[in-house]
Amino acid sequence: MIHARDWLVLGLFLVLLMIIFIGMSRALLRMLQSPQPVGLPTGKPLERFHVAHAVSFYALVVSVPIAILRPDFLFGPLRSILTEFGFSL
Amino acid sequence: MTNALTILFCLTLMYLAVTTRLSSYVLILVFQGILVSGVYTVSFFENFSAAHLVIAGAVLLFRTILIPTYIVKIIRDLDMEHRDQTRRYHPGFLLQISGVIIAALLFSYQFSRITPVLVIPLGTALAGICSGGLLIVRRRLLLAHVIGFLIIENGLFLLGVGVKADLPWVIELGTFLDLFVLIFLMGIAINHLKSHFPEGAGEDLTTLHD
Amino acid sequence: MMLTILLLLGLPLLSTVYTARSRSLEKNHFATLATGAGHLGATLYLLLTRQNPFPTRAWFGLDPLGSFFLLILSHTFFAVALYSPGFLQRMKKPEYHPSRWLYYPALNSYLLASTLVIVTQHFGLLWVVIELTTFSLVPLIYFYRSKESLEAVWKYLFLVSLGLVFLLIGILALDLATKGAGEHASLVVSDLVRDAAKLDPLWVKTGFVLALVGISAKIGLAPMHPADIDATSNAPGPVAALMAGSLRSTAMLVLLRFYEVACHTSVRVFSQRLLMIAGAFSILVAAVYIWRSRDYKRLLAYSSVEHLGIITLATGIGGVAMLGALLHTLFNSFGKIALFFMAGRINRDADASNRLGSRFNATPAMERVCFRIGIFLHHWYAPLRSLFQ
Repeated sequence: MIHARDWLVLGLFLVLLMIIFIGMSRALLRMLQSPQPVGLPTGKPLERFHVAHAVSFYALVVSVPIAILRPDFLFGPLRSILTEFGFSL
Repeated sequence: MTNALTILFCLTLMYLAVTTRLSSYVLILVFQGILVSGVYTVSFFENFSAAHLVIAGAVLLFRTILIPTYIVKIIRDLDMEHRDQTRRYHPGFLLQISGVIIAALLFSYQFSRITPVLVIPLGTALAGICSGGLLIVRRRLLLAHVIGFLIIENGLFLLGVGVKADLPWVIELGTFLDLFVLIFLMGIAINHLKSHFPEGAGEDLTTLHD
Repeated sequence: MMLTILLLLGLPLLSTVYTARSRSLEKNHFATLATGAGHLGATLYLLLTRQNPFPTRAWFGLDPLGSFFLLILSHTFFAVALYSPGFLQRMKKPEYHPSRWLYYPALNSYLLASTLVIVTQHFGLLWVVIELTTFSLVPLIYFYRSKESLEAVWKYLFLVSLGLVFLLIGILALDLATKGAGEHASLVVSDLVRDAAKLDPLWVKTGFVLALVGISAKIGLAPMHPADIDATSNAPGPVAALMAGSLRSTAMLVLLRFYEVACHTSVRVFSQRLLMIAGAFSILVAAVYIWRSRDYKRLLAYSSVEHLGIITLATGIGGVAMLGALLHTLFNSFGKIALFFMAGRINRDADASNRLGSRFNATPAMERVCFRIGIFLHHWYAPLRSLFQ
């Protein structure tokens, strides 16, 4: 049962998160819409696959299955940690 | 005897408030190192534990010899000797330090009613920590901030004595080594900072902000 | 078991010494990569077999909490080791020359220091080794040798060390708490948890408060976050990824060790409330500064403050939320590595501004896509992920 006071706290928390989400999105839009500054080379650098690109895709590809499948090699220790702290699931 | 040494430590804090010369700050550090080492030597004679002697020796080596020598070297390298004064003397600082010492001793006395602690060493330790912090806040020079930090560390050391902490001597030695490396890195940073900020004042470090 | 200890501790130590003496950047890279691979392999092995390679009740040990954070460290370090050669190849200006040679030794010493923090079970020794992580990062943060990075290094060194003074006072308070716990009481985590009922709650409370205040400077929780923001935003991309991906998590582990002791005493509710307040305040501060920020690296640094705030808040709530907090620590590490790597790729010329919009449209499409993936992972996917968590 969620009480009125809990809804208020949850609401405040969600508002804060939304401010952050919108702030980051604004930052991204600003990046997309700003004109190129004078003096930069007009040609774009060559596109080559780099480990940084692989890390970005890897992060997305790995975190989704972990969250959905909940593999035991990771979630077993996590449950043990909760037990050590005196919490139970 | 421990109480006498820690009261002398309090007097060094009072002197800290009235002096404005960097060389005096270094002398205060040396003297505080000798006093803290003395406290551990007295502890050795109370229970004849070799660990106390080892720590007393380490305090003498690191806090009385190595660190002050390195700070003097920094002062010479940065050519700060001709402008030794960090700020003009102001009586307000003396009043603040005196207030801090009195408050710390009173707090320590109230504390001793709840838990068994050594009143004067604990009070002195708290006064040392707060005085070091006041020095950082009230002085412009970065080197004065480093010295304030070292005074805080001296106070911290006495805090261990005051609360009768029982840290293994290996860890105490580890903390000395940590402190030495930290001061070494700060010295290198100050040397590099001099080329960008010749005054070496903390208020020059305002480039980074939102 | 000796082999895993050698891989976890011996290999980084050897690699630090080797890379400090070697004059070949290529050999240093391979040594670092091999160290990262060995470290990651040992971590995965220990996680899968759930073994503790150290003797029980010693000053070193690997419990489930340690294994989890070791995974975050190993993974982040391996990614940074993979990224580093490309980064160093671009840094060819003469003023970067000393930094290039210090890079790999500092990186390996950071791995050694962080591993020691994770496997140390004695609070006193924990303080000593966490200072080592600060020292190992100094040459990395000062990579560009500019006025701004020097100021960032000074502030980081000074403020974090001041914070760690409070942590040491907190440890002394914990030592005071053990006075009535019998002659076998010590500052080893397992002993404190075992003797939790006999610990003086006043001193446990004091110790926890001081530890939270002290370690906040390293974790990057508000209001102790400024030094961390300056350091992260002025460090090179891989170093910022290391700080955001693993350093803050390792510092969080130190706080969790205190929290673990507090959870077994009557101070549990108090410590939970304190964590919730600290977490909520960090989220609030991050929300304000993210909105105002025009420098994208500072933006990402404040994003780290926000995420650590969420983790701290969820840890304070406890139960399932704590499970979410731990998972979020892992996913935050993934996302931050990606974001800071891409931030470094977008701004390849170190003298160019980090201001938003100045170079983004000039970068290749792949990098813009990857940066957007990172932002998505971090700020839009989080609510979805929390449904599963």
